[in-house]
Amino acid sequence: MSPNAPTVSPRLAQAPAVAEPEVVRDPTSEDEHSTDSPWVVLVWNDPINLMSYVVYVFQKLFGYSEAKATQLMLDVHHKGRAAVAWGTREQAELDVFRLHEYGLWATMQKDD
Amino acid sequence: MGHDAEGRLSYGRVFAGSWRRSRDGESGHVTGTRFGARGSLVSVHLADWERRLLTELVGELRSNLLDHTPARDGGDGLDPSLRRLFPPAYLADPDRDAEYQRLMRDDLLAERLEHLDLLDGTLAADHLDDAQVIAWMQGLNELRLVLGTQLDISEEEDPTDLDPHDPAQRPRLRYHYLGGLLAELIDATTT
Repeated sequence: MSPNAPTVSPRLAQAPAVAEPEVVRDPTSEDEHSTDSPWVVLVWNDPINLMSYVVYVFQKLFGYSEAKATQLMLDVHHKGRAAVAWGTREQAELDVFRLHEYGLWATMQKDD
Repeated sequence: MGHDAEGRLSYGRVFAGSWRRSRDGESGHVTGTRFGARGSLVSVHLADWERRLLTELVGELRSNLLDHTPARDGGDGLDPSLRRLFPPAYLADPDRDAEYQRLMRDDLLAERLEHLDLLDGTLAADHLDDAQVIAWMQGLNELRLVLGTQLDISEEEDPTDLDPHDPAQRPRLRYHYLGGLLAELIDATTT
């Protein structure tokens, strides 16, 4: 990712004007890794997407907190990829599509 | 990586300001923020040359998408500069990915054309609502993805190395201009 925007802005912690989540999930739920959610959605590092943009998209699409979205963004940046969502194959395909809509490099695979 | 985050932000603004100077000849002028929060809306303060540039870039991308996005081809034949706009969903499973592309590529193309139209249609606007802000973000980011792919951009790219008066550097200058603009829009919406 391109870091020419702040990675952690205190202002991101406040209620964003246009970033109300379309889908609210509990990112800490272990149930997401159960056999009922056999597919995982991965986001891969790339040199173009801005860090602040990736944080914005994670909050917008998944309803993650600013802290959680920032941690996922940093995982993508430093580890090359991060798992951002789990679900059925249909749910994962929808998440991948919406991430692609925002221009993120997302893929899905079975969560073995 | 390895750069102070705040430093990088001011980088973008200094750069955007220097390029504006180069275009307008306003020596000493440093650009202010081009977006501001106004209640539930985002106010827009773009110079005429910025609106003209964005109109041109959006028009080029729309033509490129319409001319070079073969539907349902599973990726073959796609214009290389557009690959980042239509990435694979399944990395290790070509059959499933071909099926995914067959089912989804038309929808993704339609979504992209729709928000490019929304961006294009609001380039003269004084303020943007939520849907328009999202269309601007997605559209600006798509312009960056295509330009960045054409330029084979790297994370270490430093816009201050570029000469704003060198015509050969224009695509890179535009790429970094778009990055600064997008960063400001994100900043305004999360303030």
